[in-house]
Amino acid sequence: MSDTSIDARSNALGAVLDGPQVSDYWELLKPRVMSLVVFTGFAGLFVAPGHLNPVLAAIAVLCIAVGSGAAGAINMWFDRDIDAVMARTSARPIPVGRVQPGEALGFGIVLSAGSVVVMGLGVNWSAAALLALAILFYVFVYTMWLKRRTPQNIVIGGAAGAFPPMIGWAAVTGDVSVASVVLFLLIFFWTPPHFWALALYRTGDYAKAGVPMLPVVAGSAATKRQMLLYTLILLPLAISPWGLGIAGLWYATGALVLSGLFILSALRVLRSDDDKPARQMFGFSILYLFALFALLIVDRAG
Amino acid sequence: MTTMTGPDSEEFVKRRKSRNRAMLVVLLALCVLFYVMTIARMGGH
Repeated sequence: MSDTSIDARSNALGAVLDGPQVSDYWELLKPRVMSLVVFTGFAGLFVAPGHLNPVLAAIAVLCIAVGSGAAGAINMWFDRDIDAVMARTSARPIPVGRVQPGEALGFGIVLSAGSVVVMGLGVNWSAAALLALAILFYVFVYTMWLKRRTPQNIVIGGAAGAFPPMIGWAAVTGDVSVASVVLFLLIFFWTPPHFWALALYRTGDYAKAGVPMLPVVAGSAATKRQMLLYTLILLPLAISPWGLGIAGLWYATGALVLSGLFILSALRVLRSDDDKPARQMFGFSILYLFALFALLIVDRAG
Repeated sequence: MTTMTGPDSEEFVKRRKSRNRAMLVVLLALCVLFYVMTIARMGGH
């Protein structure tokens, strides 16, 4: 064994024995996922008709962020075995040993309960109930039930990530309406092509971990066809906020262009045997959702 | 004498201290949160 590998091992062991750092807990909250959740939650809150005290609005966004992070921590506790074998997730705090599994679970449960209670006391109980539903759905339906059992795991599980704009909307209005369901459906139908683009170039990883992602089970050709189908469904759905009167013509034009580009990127993925278009589509999918909700916000502010 | 790793090491003490500080910040932030939440709810509704 070389000196460098001995050093690396003693450093890793040191990191475990010296206890977790604050940044390890932050990592448990999946901050990158949280940023998209915060943004879409804020968009729902911003475009909803009515008025909410700015302080309470900020608290609502904070609760959505903390609730989503808490669900992420519980997910990392449950998935620690498969996280350890996948390259993308093997450096997470639990597989590396920096945070004990039970500690991550406790952290997730306390933050989940805290975010729901604060949302209920500070904003309203409809938003709190939706937040609780989103957390429970992500933990029990997606993580524990679907993820390891069916290639449609992210189709139904994606619903958990689609809740934030609906929660933001409910924070203002106190109810669920057709328009907030449309915002939910936008993320719901966006999730499969987004994740399958990632899964296409990470097939080996998922296969090794025994997660039945669609490209692993049905092959890449079938996956690519389904991705195209979802981008086609997204086009009319993305324009519908304009039809429902919660966004103007500027939004509709932007949504049309963005959805057209998303369909084109799905077509490129379909026609190629290379990984590159899938990587690009994954990157574009994130931009697509950000841009769509940014347009909604700008349109409403204008 | 300090050991290289484990409960007696400098690194262990340093990390514990930073975790404690983070906990203090969180608790103070919660105090502020409940205070402003109460004021906002009393004034706005």
